[in-house]
Amino acid sequence: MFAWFQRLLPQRGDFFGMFEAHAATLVGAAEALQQLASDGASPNELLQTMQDYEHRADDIIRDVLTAVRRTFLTPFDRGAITSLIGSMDDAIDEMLAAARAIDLYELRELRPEMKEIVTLISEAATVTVEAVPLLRNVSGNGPRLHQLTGRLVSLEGEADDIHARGLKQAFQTARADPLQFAVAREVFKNLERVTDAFEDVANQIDGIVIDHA
Amino acid sequence: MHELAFPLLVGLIAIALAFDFLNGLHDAANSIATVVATRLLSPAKAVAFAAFFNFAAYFLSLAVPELHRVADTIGKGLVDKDLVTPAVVFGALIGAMFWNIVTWLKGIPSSSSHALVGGIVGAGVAHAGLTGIQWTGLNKTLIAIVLSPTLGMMLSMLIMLATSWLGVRATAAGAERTFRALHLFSSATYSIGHGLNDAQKTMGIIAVLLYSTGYLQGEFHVPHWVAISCYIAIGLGTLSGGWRIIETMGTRITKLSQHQGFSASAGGTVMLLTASWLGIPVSTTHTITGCIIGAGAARRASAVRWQVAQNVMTAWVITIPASAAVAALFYWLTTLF
Repeated sequence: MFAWFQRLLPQRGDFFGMFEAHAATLVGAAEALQQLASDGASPNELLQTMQDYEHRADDIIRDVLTAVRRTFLTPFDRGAITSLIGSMDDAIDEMLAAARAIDLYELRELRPEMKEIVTLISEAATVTVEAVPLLRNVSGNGPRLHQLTGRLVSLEGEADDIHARGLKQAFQTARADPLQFAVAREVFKNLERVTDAFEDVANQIDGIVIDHA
Repeated sequence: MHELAFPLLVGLIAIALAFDFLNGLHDAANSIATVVATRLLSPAKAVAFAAFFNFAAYFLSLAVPELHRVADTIGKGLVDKDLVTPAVVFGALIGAMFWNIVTWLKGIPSSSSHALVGGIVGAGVAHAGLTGIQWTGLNKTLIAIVLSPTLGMMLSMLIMLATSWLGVRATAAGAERTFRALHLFSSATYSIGHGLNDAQKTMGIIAVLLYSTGYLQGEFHVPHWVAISCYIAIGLGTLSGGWRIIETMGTRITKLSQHQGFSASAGGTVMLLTASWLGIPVSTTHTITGCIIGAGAARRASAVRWQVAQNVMTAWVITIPASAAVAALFYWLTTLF
């Protein structure tokens, strides 16, 4: 109702640009994770790539946190901006943690359920990179943003189910090898946390839509 | 000229001042809302600050007598002053107070100002019929009931817009410092405007009572002792109302930035001073509510608490007829004796 008025207000600080740059690192890291999961080839290079993306994301979040303190008129509440970028950063951190676990335990061949979750993570990153630019016009893009965040939440639900199924499977096939089960459980947990982080991103975006649309 | 025993006159004046006191008491929460919501001052300091500037309105009225036209509107602008009797004043005051207490107990949002206007009109019509109504004064008062919160909202949004562009190059910390200082100033002027508009409602009532009983020498006017008593009463009301609400307030209010707090109270100041200049009695509570909604909505739509806005609009419709009816009833009660 008051969106037209809010558009008349001056805005400083390229928050949207920074959000978009951060979302791009999510997609890059998700692609590398997908590759790592699919063939197990050149794990060191892929891990390095993911680390590079994570560093870039760290630089961006630092810029956002400084800008949000310096800028008088931010496009959203300060809290909403820091929470959104924080949850996006959690997503990339968890992706890196999952990749590190895969590397640490020298998994050359991932379980099929793990690959399924990695595919969901890829989709979540793609959905996020589509949603973030839409924040430039929250009131106009409210319905589409709502669809996208809904998708992120349902991806998390799917990942949960696959996680449970995969754990059961791992337990049954690795009865004789507790270490193998422990490793699988660890990797599953890391992957599942990535989708949790994306769900958190969705909740932050929903909050912004409710406040500003 | 109506004969009235001196003790009865003193009693009626005491009731009028009690009404003024209760008005301050009821409004205390709203009059310090922006200051507390932005944590500009602690609630205790905010109450003392608001009460002090409620009273300080007296000095402004001495410097600018034109701001004292609200008392004229209440005293002679709603009902013909020559038709007012002590019984009408009694009915108006008791009707307004009774209605205020009923709405307070039932949780219906009401405005002391609207209730008093309703009370005067109700008791006046009961005494002298519709011919006694001064339509010019009543109409502008009725229009202002709707206009003051609406214009207050728009004005506060405009102030948000203008100050945003003025401070476009400011840093967050710099803007916070500047608006902190400005907000302290604007909340002081808002409390002056609040005291000015609200205290005059009681002044008008007391002045017309003195006029009708022949205690007022010369033309209709507000004697100084009446003015100063009314400012003291409202200041004390704010003070005691504030002390009671401090515990319950806490975090119930929408969080505002200093920028928004400044815009809301500056908008409220302009509205209340303009209304006083035009001699229009307005609801200070509704006005500042409109201003806070405007300053909030300028930044985020969800800041508008539609329930509050709806409550205010309900009060527009029911307060005057209801308090008028109660006042008429109390007027008729006096005719039984």
